[in-house]
Amino acid sequence: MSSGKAAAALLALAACAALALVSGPAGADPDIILNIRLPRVLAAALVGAALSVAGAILQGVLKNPLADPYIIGTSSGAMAGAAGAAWLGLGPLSPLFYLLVGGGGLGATAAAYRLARIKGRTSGVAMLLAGVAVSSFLAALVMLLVSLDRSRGLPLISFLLGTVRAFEPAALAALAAVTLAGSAAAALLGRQLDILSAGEEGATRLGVPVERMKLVLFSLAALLTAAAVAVAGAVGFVGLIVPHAARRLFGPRHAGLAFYSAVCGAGFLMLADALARTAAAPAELPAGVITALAGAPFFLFLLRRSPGEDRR
Amino acid sequence: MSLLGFEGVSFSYNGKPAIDGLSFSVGRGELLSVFGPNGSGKSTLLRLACGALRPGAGSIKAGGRRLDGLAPRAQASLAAYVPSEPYVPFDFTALDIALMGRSPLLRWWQDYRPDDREAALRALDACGIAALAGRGINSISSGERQLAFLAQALAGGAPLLLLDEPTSHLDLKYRSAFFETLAALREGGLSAIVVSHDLRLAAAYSSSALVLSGGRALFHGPAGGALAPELLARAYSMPPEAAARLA
Repeated sequence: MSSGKAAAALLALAACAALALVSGPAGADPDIILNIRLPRVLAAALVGAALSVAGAILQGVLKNPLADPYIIGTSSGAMAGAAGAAWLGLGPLSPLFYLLVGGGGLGATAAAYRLARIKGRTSGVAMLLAGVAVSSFLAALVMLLVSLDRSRGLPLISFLLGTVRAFEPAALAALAAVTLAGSAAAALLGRQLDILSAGEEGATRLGVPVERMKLVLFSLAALLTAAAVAVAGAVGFVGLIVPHAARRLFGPRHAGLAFYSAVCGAGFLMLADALARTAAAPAELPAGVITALAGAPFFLFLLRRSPGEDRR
Repeated sequence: MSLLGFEGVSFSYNGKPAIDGLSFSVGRGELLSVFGPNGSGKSTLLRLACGALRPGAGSIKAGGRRLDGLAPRAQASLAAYVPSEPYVPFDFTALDIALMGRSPLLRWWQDYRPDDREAALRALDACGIAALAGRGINSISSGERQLAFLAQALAGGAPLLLLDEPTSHLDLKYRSAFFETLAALREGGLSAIVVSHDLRLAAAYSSSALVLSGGRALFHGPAGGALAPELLARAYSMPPEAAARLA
């Protein structure tokens, strides 16, 4: 990881932050910037970083360029937790809400992992399939709840689409801790993740404790994702495209990729959220709509010009 | 002293025997070819030799010690494996691939050190692809990719290489280049076990050969002897005339 590139990436991140802070219908009023926009821009940065690092980890472990943070069931579990909370009449300002959402996400991923574990091994394909199955089941449960009780279900929709909202400093601090620690851990395990992403059988022969490493990496990704989803809902596409873009710009080695995914993801979601706030002001769009609108075409563009990564 | 020795080794997958009472040894600077039809136990032999499988009966000794008593990292620095037709989903450079071979020498939290980089570059050089160090592993030819994985095996400094059909998908030029590289490495004291379907080519570069059939050794001796038509006819269940034309 060259220090020049790292400095350039951090500089671009600072520019994104500045742009996100001054943009909004109320203009550049210092009071608004400090008290209203700063916490929200920070939240967007942390959510974007957490989702992007989780995506980078999962694409590497599963050796699948289409993997995203939601593929192992975390977001659907979190959604089911949110639906359960809504059903109990708990709003996003209650601490119990975060516990239900975070716990739902981790629980769903643990269930997928347990279901995918056959004879002491969890193959990437089995984990993908179990994740998809658990996700579909929980998504159907959420839809069932929404259909049965529309008055409680409708407020869930914006959460399902992914929106960065205002919330207490404690939640922000928890998200910051998980994001920083998770990204640092991913960077520290980068060398082993490189070897794992180049083939599990080879990794065993190179002395990597493959099954233990996969468990650690799935847990890391689930923690990062659950924390992000608890704060902002299921913001789509960030965790899928940012790692790809970072890989193209800065190379595939995961130690660097964890750092650059965090930086690029933070910048991308800060901008997307700023756009969501201003594009249709005074109305607010869900940030997830912006990331998907911008992300899907960009992803197709990457797919069309992706030499090497789509072979086999 | 032998680098690796099988003593009456048997192994079964779910009760189905794959290796049955096999004994042989590989010494320093030796190149052992392993021939035999599909399903005769060649790949199982390699998995046993690198410690990925434990023998059901008998023992495998490495430098006088039991292989299954060694830690995975110690096993990895004793014998290095070269896969057949490796696929890497992400475009690591050839140097990155070679560097991974240094992994058994590092603790889990350590990153590669300058001397790991030097060893990886030396290994690429020994395989004749030093000029490709910075190229993406998926943007070079399959022959060059195979050499990069040979470099990965070399970079860790293991005295024994285990090669699983390393040339099966290569054209004639790279088949020859691959075995020439192996021959040069052997001169430097390295040993290897090569599973191959290129009988004549592999035998020409080997000191000894092992012919497997149904998990047992039909033949173990000087490499030239493995090409006897009657032997191949028996091992591969084909008419002797056909075997004579092949070998």
